[in-house]
Amino acid sequence: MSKIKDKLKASINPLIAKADAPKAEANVPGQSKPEAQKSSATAGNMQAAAAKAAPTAVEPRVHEKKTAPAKPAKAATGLENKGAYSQGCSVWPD
Amino acid sequence: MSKGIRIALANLKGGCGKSTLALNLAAGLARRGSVRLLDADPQGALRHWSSWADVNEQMPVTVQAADNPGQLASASNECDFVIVDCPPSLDIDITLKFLRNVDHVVVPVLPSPLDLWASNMAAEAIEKVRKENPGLRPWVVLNQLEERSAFSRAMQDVLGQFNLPVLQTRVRRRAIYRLAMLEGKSVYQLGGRGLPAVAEIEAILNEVLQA
Repeated sequence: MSKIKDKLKASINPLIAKADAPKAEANVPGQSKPEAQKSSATAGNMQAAAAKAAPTAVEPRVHEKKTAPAKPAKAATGLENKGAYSQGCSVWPD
Repeated sequence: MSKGIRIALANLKGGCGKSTLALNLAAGLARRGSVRLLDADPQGALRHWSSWADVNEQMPVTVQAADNPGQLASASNECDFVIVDCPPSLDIDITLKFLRNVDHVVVPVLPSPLDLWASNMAAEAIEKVRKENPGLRPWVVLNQLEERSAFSRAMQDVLGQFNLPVLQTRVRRRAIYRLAMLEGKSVYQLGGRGLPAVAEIEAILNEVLQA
């Protein structure tokens, strides 16, 4: 039960946060952002700046994208749009 | 000067048991005084139920179609209790008009994530209304509860996260509510078969009226 309860609680947290956000803004007139948001934004900027400034010690891995072999093109049969399968027929013309 | 106690049943969602609770609460209140049941839901389920009711039965509740708060004012002048079955939306004009003029709003919530998430919006809408009607007392009631379901039990705890008081009384999922509706009756008129449901409705009324 506690797992279900935890999951339910987690599911409503974004809703409660969303509802509280405008209230927090409204409570600080003349201030562009609530303090919590501002500090987290500042922390975020600092992290980004630090990431930019830090030398890249390790070369980033490059993942090669594997390409699937091309499928052979289907031969046009003339029955593609006629629901041949549903009519119990083969797609091959006689 | 209004005298009667006015109780609205409202929610964002349809199918959460507003009308069923409204008619049974009205039947319970009829034991305490005169009752008017205002059907503000365009679906008109309660009006149909009223017309479907057995004419031989002594149903002590008058059902009236309602689309403006003036009807609520006159009903509360004439009766001890008025129940309003609101449309399945909290942000439409007609619902808001009624909520600005009632003493209590009961919000039935089903034990499902969808209903839980909708409750947040219900809490917001009611909070806005309370700025114009500070005397409004909101109540959430967990409806159609499945006693053995862990989900249902968890819902009771999680509902408390919103800024709405949750009634201690929970309404179990019982066929007798649907049967009463089908027979054009309330659970109070079904004798022994209706007793567990009657106990639930009485408990809700006691909680709300004693608050």
